[in-house]
Amino acid sequence: MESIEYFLLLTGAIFCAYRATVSRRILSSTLYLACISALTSVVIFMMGATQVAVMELSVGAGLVTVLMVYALSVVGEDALDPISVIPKPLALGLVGAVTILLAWMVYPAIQSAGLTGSVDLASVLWQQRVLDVWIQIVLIFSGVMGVLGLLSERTPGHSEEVHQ
Amino acid sequence: MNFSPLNIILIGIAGLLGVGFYGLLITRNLIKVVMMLQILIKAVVLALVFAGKISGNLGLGQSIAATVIVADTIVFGAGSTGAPPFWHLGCTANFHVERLIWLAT
Repeated sequence: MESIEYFLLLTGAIFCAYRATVSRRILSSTLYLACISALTSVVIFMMGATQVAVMELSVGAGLVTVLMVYALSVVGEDALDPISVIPKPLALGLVGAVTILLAWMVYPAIQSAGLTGSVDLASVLWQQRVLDVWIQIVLIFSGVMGVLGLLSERTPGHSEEVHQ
Repeated sequence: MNFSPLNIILIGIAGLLGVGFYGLLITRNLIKVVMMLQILIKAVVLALVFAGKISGNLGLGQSIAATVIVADTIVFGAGSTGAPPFWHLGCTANFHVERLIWLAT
């Protein structure tokens, strides 16, 4: 039963990814991307990583979609999409070969593993990987400052106000 | 090959990576390229959690996946708010391939 659930969720995610790739309208691709995030977060939740699943759902399906729609509202749907110089059959063959080789290399490594593991995120995050937390804090701070700087409108300086 | 949950998740991760790479190869629109990178990021997050699960250290996998999500979101947020004036220009992702073809001919 668990295998069927994983199969349905991941098949849906791959289908949405394919539709996001070949869809002509960018807004449709954005919605397919949100569906991928939702399905992926359900899979992550089923694997026991509940915190990351919540982050993926709120950020991937929520924030990223909102930002993408905002960017589309600024740019419009008529962005340039020239034809790729790589033929589609060649791209499909290359990607298929790489994907099969990757799965073939990883497959023996997972046969001896089980689906059980510790779920002690707090001790790992705040003790063993505390540097990651600091990096995340710096990233969030710099990202917020950068976005505020990009979105701020230029105001006339003090000297210009004096001359006026 | 039996279709246990582990194998199905592995196939799903490989499939998402494959579709993401395929999209990167066939599209030149900068917005679509960013979307394909998002698909790749989702596959990577799934792979990190999966690796933590099968190695018996799910906390470590979650920690690294959370860092990847935060970094991805910050980069995407800055890009989506700062890059729109340049998105009309299209993508130069395979500009180097074009240049190689031009040099070869």
